[in-house]
Amino acid sequence: MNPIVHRRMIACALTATIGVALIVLAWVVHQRLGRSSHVTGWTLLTCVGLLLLLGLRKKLIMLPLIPVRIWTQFHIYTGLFALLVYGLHVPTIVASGFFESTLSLLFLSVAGSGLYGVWISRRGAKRLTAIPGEYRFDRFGWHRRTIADRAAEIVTQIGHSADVPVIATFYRERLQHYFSNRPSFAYVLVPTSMRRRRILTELGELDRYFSDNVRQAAGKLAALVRNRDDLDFHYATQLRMRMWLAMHIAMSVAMIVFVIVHVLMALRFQGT
Amino acid sequence: MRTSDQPLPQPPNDDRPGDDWICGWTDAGMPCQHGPSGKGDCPALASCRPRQDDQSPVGWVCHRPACLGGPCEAGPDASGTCGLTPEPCTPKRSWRNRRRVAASLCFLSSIGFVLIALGGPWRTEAFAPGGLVQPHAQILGGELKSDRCASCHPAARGGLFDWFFDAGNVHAGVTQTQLCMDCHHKTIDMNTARSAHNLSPAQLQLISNSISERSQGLHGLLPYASVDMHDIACATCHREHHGGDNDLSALTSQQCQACHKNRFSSFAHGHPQWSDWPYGKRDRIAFDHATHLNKHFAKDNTKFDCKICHQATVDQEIGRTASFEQAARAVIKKPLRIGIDEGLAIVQFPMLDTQAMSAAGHVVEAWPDDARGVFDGKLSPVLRLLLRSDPATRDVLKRLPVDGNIGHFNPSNPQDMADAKRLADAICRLTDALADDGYEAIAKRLSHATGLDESTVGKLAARLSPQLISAARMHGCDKMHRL
Amino acid sequence: MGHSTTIDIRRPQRWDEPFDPAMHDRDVQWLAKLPPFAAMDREAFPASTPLEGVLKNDCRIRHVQAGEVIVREGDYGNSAFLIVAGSVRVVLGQLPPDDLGRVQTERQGWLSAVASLWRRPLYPEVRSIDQITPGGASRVKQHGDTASIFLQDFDGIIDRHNTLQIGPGEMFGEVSAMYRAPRTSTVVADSDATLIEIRWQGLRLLRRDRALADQLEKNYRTHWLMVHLRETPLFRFLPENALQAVADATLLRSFGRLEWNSDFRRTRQLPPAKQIESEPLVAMEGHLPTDLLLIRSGFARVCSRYGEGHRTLAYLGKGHMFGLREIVHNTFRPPNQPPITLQESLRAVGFLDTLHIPIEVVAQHVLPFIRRDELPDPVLRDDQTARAENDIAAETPTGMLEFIVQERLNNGRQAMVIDLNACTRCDDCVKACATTHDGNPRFTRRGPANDGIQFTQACMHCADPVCMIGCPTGAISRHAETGTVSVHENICIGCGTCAAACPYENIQMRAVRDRNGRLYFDESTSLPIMKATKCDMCQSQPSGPACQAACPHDALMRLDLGNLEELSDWMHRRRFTTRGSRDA
Repeated sequence: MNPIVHRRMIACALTATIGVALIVLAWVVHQRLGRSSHVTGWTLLTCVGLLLLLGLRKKLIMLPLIPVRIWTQFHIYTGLFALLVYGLHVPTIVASGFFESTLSLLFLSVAGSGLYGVWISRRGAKRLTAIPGEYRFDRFGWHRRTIADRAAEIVTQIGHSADVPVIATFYRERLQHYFSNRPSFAYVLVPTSMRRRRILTELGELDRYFSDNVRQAAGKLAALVRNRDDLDFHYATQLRMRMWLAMHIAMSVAMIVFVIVHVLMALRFQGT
Repeated sequence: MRTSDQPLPQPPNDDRPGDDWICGWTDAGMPCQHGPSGKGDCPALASCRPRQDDQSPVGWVCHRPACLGGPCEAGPDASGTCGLTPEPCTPKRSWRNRRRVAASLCFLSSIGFVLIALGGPWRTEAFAPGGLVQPHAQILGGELKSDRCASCHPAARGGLFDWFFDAGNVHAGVTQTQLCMDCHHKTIDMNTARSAHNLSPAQLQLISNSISERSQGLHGLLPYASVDMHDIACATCHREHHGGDNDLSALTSQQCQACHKNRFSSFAHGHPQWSDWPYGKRDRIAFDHATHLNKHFAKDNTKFDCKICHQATVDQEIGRTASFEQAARAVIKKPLRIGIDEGLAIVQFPMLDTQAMSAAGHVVEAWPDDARGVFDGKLSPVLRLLLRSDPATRDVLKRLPVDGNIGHFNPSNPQDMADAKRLADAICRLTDALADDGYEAIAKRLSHATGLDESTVGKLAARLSPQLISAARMHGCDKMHRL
Repeated sequence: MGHSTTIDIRRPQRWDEPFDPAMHDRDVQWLAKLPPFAAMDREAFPASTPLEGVLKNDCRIRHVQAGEVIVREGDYGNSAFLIVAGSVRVVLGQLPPDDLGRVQTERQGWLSAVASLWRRPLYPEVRSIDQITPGGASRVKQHGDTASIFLQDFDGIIDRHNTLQIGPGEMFGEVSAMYRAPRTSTVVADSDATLIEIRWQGLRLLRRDRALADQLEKNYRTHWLMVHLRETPLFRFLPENALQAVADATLLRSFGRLEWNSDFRRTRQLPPAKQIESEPLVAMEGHLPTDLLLIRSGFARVCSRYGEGHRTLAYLGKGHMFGLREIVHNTFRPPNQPPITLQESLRAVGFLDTLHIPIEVVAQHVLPFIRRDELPDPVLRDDQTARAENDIAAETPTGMLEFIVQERLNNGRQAMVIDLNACTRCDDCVKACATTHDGNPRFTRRGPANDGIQFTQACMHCADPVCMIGCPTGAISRHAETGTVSVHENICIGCGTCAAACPYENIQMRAVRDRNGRLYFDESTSLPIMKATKCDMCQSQPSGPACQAACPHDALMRLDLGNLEELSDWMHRRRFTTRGSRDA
C-alpha cells in the first residue's frame, strides 16, 4: 500500500477511536452526575491549543521539531476531532445567548474555513499545474505589466497600412484596458474563460479586414490574451488559496479571544 | 497561434516574500535592486558609486561592476549622482504583512467586542448562555438587568473583575447553592440542602444499610456518582440556561443509578420490582395523585399539600408515603376505621387489589369501595389478635410480616391472593360477629387468642364505644352487603 | 610575411579563449626552453595542436609569494601546476579551516536560533564587518582582478604539520585537474616562486608526450586507482592480490569535455534525440561485452534503441557499473548457450571518466569474491522485444529521465524538487529560508519543470561542483562529511566566478550592507562589496534544511537525483502508487 494512503487510514482510524472514547467518557461522566461539559470543554480547549501549535511551529522553523507537513496532518485530524468534540460540547451546534452564539459561529467559521482549505489546497494546486505558466504571487503585477508592454509594442510596431487603424482601434477599445488593469472582482471570485473567448472571438471577426502583416500581429495579441487569461487564472486561484488561510488565521485569532473569555466565565459561573 | 509563441521575459529572481514591504515599482516592472527597509522606507539607493574622472565630460564615470550589469548608459551627472538612482517609491505591503494586519485587526476587534459587551448594563443579556426555565425567568424578570445574573451567580455580585477572577471580596465563599436556597429555604431544610434528596447523613446511612448489595453484570461496572452525597450543589442535577421548557428535575435512569446501587438498564427493562425495593411498599404507584388532587381533595375543598405526605421520617419510608391515617385523614374521615378515638384500631379494612384477586379466582364482593386498590395497609395488633381466633386465618397471619403489613402481597403470586381472600373473608366475618354479638364477640375472640379468661378481656372490650361498633357496621358492613 | 619571431599555427576552436590572454610569445619561447617542455618530442603533437600552442593558450605563468596558498585540500580545480622557480610546500596533514581563512560554520543552539527571530535586520543582505572581512590566521591579498589567501603564521604551520617541499621541474595537482577529483593536499608557496598553471585541456594535449603520459598514469595508478577500487562496494571482499590484479589490468578512458557546464548551456536546448546522438558512445547495445565499466567521475546515460531513436533507461554517476549483468550471465551460462550482447548502450553526458576492467579479469579475480545475492539476475531473453518490455517496466518514466539528463539535474545531490500538483504556491519554503538566513532567502521558487515536478533553482550541492573551480581564495568549499557546498563570505572577494560557473544559475551575487542599510564599498576601488550567496542547507541551524521542514503539503523534498531509486520512490509516493506498479 502507498505510504500516504496507509498513513491516511491510520490517522482516520486513530481519530475515530479517540472520538469514540471521548463520547463514551462524556456519557459516563454525564450519567454519574459529573460535568461532561467540562470534559468536552477542556478537550476542546486542548484541541484549540494543539491546533495553534502549527502556527508556532511555522514560526520556529529553525528548530529540529517535527516537519511542518506532519504538523499539518496532525492539524487536520485534530481539527476534525475538535469538530466532533464541539458537537458534544454544543449539541445544538449554535449555542444560545449572544456571546456564546457568536463564539459558536466563530468556531464553525474557523472549522469551515479549515475544511475548505483542505479541499482547495488539493484542488487548487492541481488546477494551477494544469494551466500553463508558473507565476509567483509577488510578481503578478510585474507579469501584467510585461504583457501590457508587449502588446503595446506589437501594436506600435505594425507599421502603416489601411488595416492598421482597425487593429489599433480594437486594441485601444478592447485590449488596452484588459491588459493594463487587474482582473475584476467577479473574475477573481469565479474565474472563467468567457472573457478570453469573447475577446478572441471579436478579434477573429476582424480577421477578414487584415492583411498578412496585421494578421500576424493579431495572432501575437491573441497569444497575449491567452497568456493574460492564464495569468489571471493563476492569480485568482493563488489569491483564493491565500485568502482562505488569511481568513482562517484572522478568525482563529478572534476565536481565541472569545474562547479565553468563555473559559474564564464558565469556570467562574459554574454552579457550586 | 499558441501562447508559447509569445516568449515573455522572466521576472527578477530576488523574491522576498518573507519581508513586510516590497518595492513600489514592482508592478511597474522596474523594482530596484535594494528594496525597501523593514519599516517600509524607500532608501532609493543608487546602483553604483560613480568615480571621479577628469577625462569624463561631467567629471564622473559609471563604476557599476559587471555582475550588476556593467556601466550604465545614462552615466553619472555632474554632481556625481548615479544615473540609475531610482525615483523613490512608496513601498507596498507584502501579502505577509497584509495578512498580519488583518489578523491584528481581528484580534483588536474581538477584544473591543468583548469589552463593549462587558462594559454596559447589557452584559447580563449578552453573556447569558441561554434562557432560564419559566419560573426562574418570571421571578428574575422583575429584577434589574444588572442584578439578574447576581441573583444566582456569586461571580456576578462584585465588579467586572469578579466575573473572571476570584477577587476575594465580601462575596467570596458564597456558593451558588446558597443563592438557590435564598429562595428555596421555605421548602428545603437549609441543613440538608446539599445532601442527596435533602436527607441527613443519618437518614442516608439508614438507606444505605438496607440497600441490596451492588449489582453484578455490565451495569454494575459503571462508576458511581462523581459527587459527594452530602455535598451536592443544586446545579449538579438541576441544569439551568437550557431554555424555558427545560425540565430542571429531569434525570436519566443512569443518573439515578449513579447513586443508587441496585443497577438496571432502564426503567422499562430490568428495573427491580417495587415490592422488593427497600421501601417495600408496592409494585406500582399506589397513591393516585391525580384522582386525589382533582377528585377527593377538590371535593373536600382541602389543600393538596405534598409536604403532608412527603416528609422525611426516620423509618424506611423516606419521603414517599405517610401512614394511611395521616394520608387519608383529610378526606376519608372515619368510615374505614373502628377503634377508640385515642386508642387502638380494632377493625381495619386494608386496601385490597380486588381486581387481581378476582383474576386469580378469589372474588371478594363484600368489601368497601374505598378500600379497593392496590395491596396496602397494616393489620393492627388488636385486629390480628381478633383474627387469630378464626382458624381459617391462622396460617395467613403467620405468613404476614411482624408489623402486619400486607403491602408486600404480590398480585402474581397465587398464595398471596389466596391469603388475601382468606383475610378479607375473616375480616368480614369479624365485622359480622361484632355486629351480631358486640362486646361478647370481642371478648370471646380475645380470650381465645390470648388464653386469658373472658372476664379479663371483657373489661378491655367494655371500653370500646358501642356507637363506634354500630357505626362500623352501619358504614362498613351494611355497605358491603349492599354491594 | 614569415617573421621569425612569430609562430604560424592553425588555431583550433578550443583556443578561442586562451587561458591567459596576456600570455606573450616570448613567454612561450621561454617556457619551451624549460624542462620538461624542452625535452618533449615536438613530433608527437599534431599540427593542429603544437606544443607551443598548448603553452600559449592553455598555460599561464603565476608568481606566488611566500605563504600564499596555491591549492587547498578539498578544492576542485581544473589545472595543474609546474614549478619553474622557487619551492612550495605540500602540507601532508589537514590544515584547520581557520588557517585558510574559512570561518567554520557551527550549528547554533536552540536558544540562539530562536533569538535570531528578534535579531532580524531591517534591510536585505546585512552583514557585520567581521562577517565580510578575513578572520583567523589568514589574510587576503588582492592582485589585479583576483586575490589570494596568505597564511599568517606560515612558519608555525610548517612546524606543526608534516610538509613536503617540492621544487623546480615538479608538478602537482595534475590528478585533480585530469580526473575532476578534489585536491588531496594544501599547497603553500615556501618562498617567492614562479609556477606554470596548465589547464586540463592543455594537460591532456601534453600527454602526447610519452614520458609525461607515463608519469601521469603511474601517478594515478599509484595514488588513486587502488583507493578508488577499494571504495567500490562490490569489490569489498576482494583480497589484496586480486585487487592489485584488477588494478593492473584496468584501463583508464575519458569521454567528452571536462568543461561540460559551459557546453551544457548550448546543448540543453537540443531535442533529446539530437542530444543523445551528440553524446560520445562508450559501449554499444548489441555488442558483446569486453569490459566491465566502472564510472570514475562524470555522468553517463544508459539507453536502448527504440523505434528509430534511443530511449533513456537510466543515468549513471560516480561508482556505478555498466555491463555487469551481461558479464555475469555469460560467465555462468551453460556451455551450450551462446553469450549475450550488451542490452543497452552507454553514452557520456558532458564528460565521463571510466575504468575498464577486462572480462577475463572480472571472471577470474572479481566474480569469485562477490556474493551471489549481490549479482544481477541472469538475462532470460536476449532480443529486442524483451528489451522493450524491460524498458516499459522501468520505475521512472523515460520522459522524466531524459529531462533530468537534458537539464543535467542528475548532478544534484540535494536537489530541491517540488511536486506542483501538491504545491499551493504559499512560499512558506522561501519564507523559511529567509528566516534561517537573517531574512534573505537563498532561492526563488522557480526552475525547470517536467511532468508536474519542478526542479527548483536552489543549490543542489552537486556531485560535480563546477562552481568550486576557479575560486581564487577558496571561499567556496565543500564539507568533507556532508558534501554541502558553502561560501565563506569573509574571504569571498565577490568576483562572481562561482556564479558564472554554476550552470543552473543557483548562485547570486548580492551587494551587502550594514545594519543601517548603508552599502559597503571597497575603500580602494569604490566598488560595492559583493558576496556570492547560495543555499547552504541551513547547516548553521539546528533544523537542517528549513525549506523541506517548512512545506505544509509535503510537496518539497531535497533529493539525490543521482540516486534513481530515491527519485522513483518519491514520485510513486506522490502519485499514490507503489513502486513496481505503473501509474494509471
